[in-house]
Amino acid sequence: MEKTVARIALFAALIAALGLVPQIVLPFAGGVPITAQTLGVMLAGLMLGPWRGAGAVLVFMAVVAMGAPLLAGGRGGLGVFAGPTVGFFVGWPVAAAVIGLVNRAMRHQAPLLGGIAASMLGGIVVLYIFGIIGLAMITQMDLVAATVAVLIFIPGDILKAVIAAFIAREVRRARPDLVD
Amino acid sequence: MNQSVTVRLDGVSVSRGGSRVLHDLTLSLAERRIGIIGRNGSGKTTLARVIKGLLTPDHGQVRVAGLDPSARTREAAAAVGFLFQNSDHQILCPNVGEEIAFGPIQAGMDKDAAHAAVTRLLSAQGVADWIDRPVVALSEGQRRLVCLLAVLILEPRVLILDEPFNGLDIPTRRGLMAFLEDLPQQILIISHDVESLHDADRLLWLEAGKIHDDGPPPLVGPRFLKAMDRAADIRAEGAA
Amino acid sequence: MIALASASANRRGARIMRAIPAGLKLAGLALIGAGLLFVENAFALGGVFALCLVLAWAVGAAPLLRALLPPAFMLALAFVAHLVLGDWQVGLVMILRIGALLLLASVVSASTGVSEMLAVMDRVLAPLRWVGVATRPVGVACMLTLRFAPMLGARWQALGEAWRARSPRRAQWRLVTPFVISTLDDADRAADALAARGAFARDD
Repeated sequence: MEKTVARIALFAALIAALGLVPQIVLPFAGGVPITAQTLGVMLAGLMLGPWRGAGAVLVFMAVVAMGAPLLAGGRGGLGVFAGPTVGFFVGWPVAAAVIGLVNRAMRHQAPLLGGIAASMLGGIVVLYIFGIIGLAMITQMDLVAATVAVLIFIPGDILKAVIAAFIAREVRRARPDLVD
Repeated sequence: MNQSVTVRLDGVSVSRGGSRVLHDLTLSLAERRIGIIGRNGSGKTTLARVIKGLLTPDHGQVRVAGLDPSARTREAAAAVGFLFQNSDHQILCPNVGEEIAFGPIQAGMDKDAAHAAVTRLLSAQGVADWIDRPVVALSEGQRRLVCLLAVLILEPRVLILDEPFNGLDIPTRRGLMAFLEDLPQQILIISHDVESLHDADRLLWLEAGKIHDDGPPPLVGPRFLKAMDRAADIRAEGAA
Repeated sequence: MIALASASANRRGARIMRAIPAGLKLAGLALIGAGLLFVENAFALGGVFALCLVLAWAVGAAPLLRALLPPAFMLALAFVAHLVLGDWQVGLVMILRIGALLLLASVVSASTGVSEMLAVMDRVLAPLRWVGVATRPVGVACMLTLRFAPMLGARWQALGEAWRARSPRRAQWRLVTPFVISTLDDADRAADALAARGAFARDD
């Protein structure tokens, strides 16, 4: 039990730490930062597995909701969840779980490719479905418009998905006992 | 003074990564102040962790106050207090008050009662104002005190300290030694610094996972220092 | 968190807000938020929005408003989209509703300490214990995250600086591997510390 709690909490702290990386701020959409934080979510699923990975993301969000300024850009509090990006937040733990599950399924036949596929399926397909629906609901746009609005972030996230898989492979090679 | 045996090891062996770290150790520890010395890699920390129950031996038995320390029970956990070598490896909470209250609250104490107990403990040390201070704002010596208080608040029978004087300046070290001297618990101190253990009742010299020597500091201490001098000379010759 | 601190701390509004119990504030926020979802009248929403602005001002929350700029910008863009599409009324209703929610949520967060929030979460989860769900580990996990996030953040920045000192290339992703490994090692040590302090121990 202690190991589970500790790994979940420390990975949540890692997701927070990755948000401190100097961000590339897109002038479009009001200065939304592109950060390594999504990378952290993907890694949570790859390294901790579906349930602990989702747990880490949930703990991270709970701590942000409580007011800790750990969201990329030093943001925190309940307000960050009330905006148009709320769908993405709801989708984050689901994404981590999907990433973990797909990775487990594919790990033995194709470790690296499986990792990339898992990260893309969870971190992009599933996550963006939640994000787009959330965006459409909040801003009362139609789904097509919402999809167009988020298209610009997808290339960056594809890159992150690939990077996440490579990192996961390196970590697994170095310390197989530590990961899922 | 009637000293009953609180810590008992029976044929304890521990292997890590395929090699034996502790060899068939049998010990009865009843003395009030016990020092455990040895070279790096002699198994001192492993012995400490086995007595605390963080490690379960591959063979043999450990009993502290009659309990198996590795059983995940409240009683067993509270019976032995453990101070890790590195404060950063021990601290679990952002601020001092939360850190010290952590143990009692996990044991089921009411939050307000725990807060009161923490306030009492800090006031007794003259640092009541630390209660809301973030741990990162403290110096290493101060953090070590917080870690110690966080352990003592659970009123353990036995206290194990892994290299507690490392990295402390002389006044702080003396302060810590004086603080420990007043504690009612049986105290086991792991240290490579024999001088700091001259007041102990018993010195255990661990070498390659076995008890190399066992007796009062005036006897064992000088023997240990001599052996360390020899080892240093041999190393210097080898390098020359 | 943009806390209602420093210059605005002594404003009466901020003091009053801070004194209200966290559970009450959160329940109020949830109720008002849910209620807002059903209001479609632009004037009513406008009134609520204005009230929220007044509340934010009363607690001295200028820094708070600055933090709301990114979502505000996104909402403004969405409004423009509606304008272009010809249904600006929908856009207006949306921006007033979400804006009011954002303001309220921010005021509640800014006037409530993290430890208060933790206590509320503990209480909210407590009923689950009756059905056998372990809820205390959640609070412990949150506490650990709060404890380690600054340390890991500093370590991550130090890793980046060490790299930049030696290489002109921005290959920050390469640093993530040792960072993940050191974090998982920290987790194992934290697990030991938890066990040593009797967390999650059984009662017999």
